[in-house]
Amino acid sequence: MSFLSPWFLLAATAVAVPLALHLFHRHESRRVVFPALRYLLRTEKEHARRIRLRQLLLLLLRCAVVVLLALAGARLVVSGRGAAHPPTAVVVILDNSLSSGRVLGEDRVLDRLKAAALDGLAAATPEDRVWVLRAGEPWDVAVPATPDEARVRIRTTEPSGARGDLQSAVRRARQLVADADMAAGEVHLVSDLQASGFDPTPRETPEAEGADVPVVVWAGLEAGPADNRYLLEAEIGGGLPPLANRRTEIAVTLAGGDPQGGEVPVRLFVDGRVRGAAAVVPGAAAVLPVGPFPPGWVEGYVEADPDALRDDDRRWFAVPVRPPPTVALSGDAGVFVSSALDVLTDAGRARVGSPASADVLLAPAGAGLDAVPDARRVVLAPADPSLLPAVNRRLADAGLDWRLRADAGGGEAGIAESAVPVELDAVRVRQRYLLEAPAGTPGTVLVRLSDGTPWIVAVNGGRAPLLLVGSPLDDQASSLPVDAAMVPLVEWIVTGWGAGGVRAPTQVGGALPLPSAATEVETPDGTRLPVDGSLELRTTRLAGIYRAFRGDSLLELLAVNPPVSESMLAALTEDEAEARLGEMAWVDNPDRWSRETFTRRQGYESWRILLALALVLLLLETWVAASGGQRRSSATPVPSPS
Amino acid sequence: MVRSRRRPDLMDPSTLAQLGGVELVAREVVEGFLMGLHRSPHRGFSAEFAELRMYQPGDDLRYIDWRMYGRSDRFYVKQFEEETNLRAYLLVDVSASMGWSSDPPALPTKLWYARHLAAALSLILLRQGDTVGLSAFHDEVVDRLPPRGGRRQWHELVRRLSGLEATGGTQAQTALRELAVRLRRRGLVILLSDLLVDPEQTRTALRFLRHRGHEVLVFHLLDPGERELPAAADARFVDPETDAELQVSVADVRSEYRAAVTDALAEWERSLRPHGIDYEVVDTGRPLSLALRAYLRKRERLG
Repeated sequence: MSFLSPWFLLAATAVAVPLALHLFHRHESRRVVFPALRYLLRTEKEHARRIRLRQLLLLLLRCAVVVLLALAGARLVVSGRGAAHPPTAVVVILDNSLSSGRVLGEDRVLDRLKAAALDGLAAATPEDRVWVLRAGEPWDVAVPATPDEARVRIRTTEPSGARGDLQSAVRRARQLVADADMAAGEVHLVSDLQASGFDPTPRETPEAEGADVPVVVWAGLEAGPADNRYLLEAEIGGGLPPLANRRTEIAVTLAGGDPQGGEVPVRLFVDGRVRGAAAVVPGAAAVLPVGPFPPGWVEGYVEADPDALRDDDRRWFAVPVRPPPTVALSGDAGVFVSSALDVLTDAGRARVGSPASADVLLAPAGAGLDAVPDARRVVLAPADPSLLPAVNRRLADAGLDWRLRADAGGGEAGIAESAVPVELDAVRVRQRYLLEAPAGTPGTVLVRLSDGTPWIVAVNGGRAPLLLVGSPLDDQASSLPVDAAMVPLVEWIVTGWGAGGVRAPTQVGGALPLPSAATEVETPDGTRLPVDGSLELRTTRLAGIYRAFRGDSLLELLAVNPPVSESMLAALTEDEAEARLGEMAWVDNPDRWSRETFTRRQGYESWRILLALALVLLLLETWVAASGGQRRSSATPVPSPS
Repeated sequence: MVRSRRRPDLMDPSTLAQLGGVELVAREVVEGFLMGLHRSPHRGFSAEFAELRMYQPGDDLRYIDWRMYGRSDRFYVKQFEEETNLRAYLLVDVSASMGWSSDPPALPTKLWYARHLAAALSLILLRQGDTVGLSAFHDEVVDRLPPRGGRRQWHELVRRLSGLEATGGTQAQTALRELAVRLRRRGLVILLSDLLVDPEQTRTALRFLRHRGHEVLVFHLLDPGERELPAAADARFVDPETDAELQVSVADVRSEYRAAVTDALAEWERSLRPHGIDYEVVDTGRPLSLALRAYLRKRERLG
């Protein structure tokens, strides 16, 4: 037994009023001259005991009415399960990530999750405050709402196509509950509990505010088939942008599914038309020739036949098509670089021109950096360390803070990390310089050696992008010039990095980098959003092609694809979920779900019964107060006045 | 033009009190009361002619004086002096409780009512040729007028009644016993009292009167406020005669009190009727004619 508004119990002190009236009031009564006092005396004499009993009964009834009203006002809750609970802050995390679009039987997973979320709110009262966090839309603003508003929000939720970060959502939900400062709070996590929504490995998290907020996890969803088939990749031109009027190819990789299930039809759409088709066995790749294209942008998608989870059966691409870039040398880069350029020129992948008109300037020892400030520049380290001061001076003159230093470690080093789409694993580096810059200086290490030193660094801080290579490209410094990766690396430098590269597709829900001049972005559903080009677009809810505009001028096409991790369906077990979420209530059947939500429910609220009882007692009090002589008078003949 | 006029005997006492003094009111009441009867059975019609009066609807056509009609073209009836055959004694209680009204000035006191009822009864009796006497008492007899007939007696009665004041306690049995001793000739004893007296001794005294051969008619004057307790919460009730006090929660005893009054009235009736004593409860809020009718019933039985 407890009270939801215990302060109202103070009203029970009003029971002193009838008591005081009963005990003291009659001594302060007025004086009435009344000749028929003998009848009163007779009444008192004959009915004294009954009158006293009735007065006592009336006193008890009046006191009981006061107490019942006080209990009703204090909202007495009797023990047992019921609808009554203190005002509660509830955060419903509804997982509408890509995997929630999977079809199970006749329904989508999300439809079942929505039903469970609504069941969880069945006991909510208007005094509760409810937030609905859509796990598949992490950018969504959390707004407190009434239970009815929350139900509407749940019903109108659709799959987002993004990855659901459930751990972040739970942390955010706990924080919201803690900040709400209400009598009770809890988090309802309604999800298909795919492992993709959690960190891969459990990790200790510091004790955050709201860590003690109870989390109720709905785990009543049937498992369904786990062998989801999905398109893993659609890579155009091996990572290099297609050149104008030259054919290229798209490599389509199908993953998941049943490898024994046979081939799956795959179709290639370019600019809205079917341009190729293939049959692919899950786990294998198909290469589809495409092109040639005129200069401009090519957009399209590859799709496989849909399965239960349809949103990951299509992958989008958008690439620029440009003429072969013009390359210039500002000094002697050695025979290996010259030979590689000859190969590219002969293949029509590049053209050699003067530094003044070059798209890419290869600058051995930094020579000629100032001459072509607008071209993409590649600074190759000198073989002679005595030239380092001159190289650093040229870098400084070009406004760059990166420097080459000779005291890099000795001995051979392998390639430890590489962001370059060229196979560099076999390359051994013998002579290299240390590439260094003050902290905070712009620059990205593209290739790092096994001793931890940067080897190729991309710098975007000056007027045009610059690439720093920490070794001379000769066979004394490294094995690269005589490795099969030499020409592909030079080609990537010239046509890939030098031409701006092929931007890796962004995942749905991820931040979309925009061209700095962009003022508007058109989303795949045709909505135009005003943007600031210096920022990233965070609301990438849909997969497809996003178009960046400056005014009416198209700047760039950006492909946004479903996160692959969401396609790898694997639900967490209770232990795995607990290891990632901490203490929680794991509910896997609907009956328990209604009991485990609103855990602070204290039983049945009894104010209606108490009010009804008070009303009955009031009526009884009226009857008792009015009763008495009628029964007797009915038995005795009454003389009437003449 | 015919002006409709409400009969005074049917007026509420509060309205009646505005008409004037005892004499006027009593006359008006009696006139109205007699006019309302179909005939005037209690006017004597003996052989001795007394006077003529204007014909009133209801008068017996046998007594129309046709000679007077021939002379004056108006109807007159002949009236005769009846022999006196009844001696009436009006006993009026003038104890302090009789001076009480539950709703003054809207409702007159019980003494006012007794005074006017006594006057009206006297007038009727005197007109019938009876003799009427008066005794006023509380603990003792405070005024006494021997029974006589005629107009002078009427004026004397009115004068005495007008001078009565409600004072003192009620030891009615003492006064009644004293009166019973004094009233040697049998007659009609009419008691007008609120009967807030010692019941047993008063009944004994009344029965004694009956035993002495008197016809006894008791008018129990009851103020409406005595039937129902006032609309108060708690109060200290004080008896004006004895100054006794009683603290009462009205709501707690209201119904029991109502029953006690009813029982008391029933007890009076039970204890008097078997002894040939007529008992009438007279509500002082109701017209005088109701009490007069009770008298007529009694008078008819007496013949």
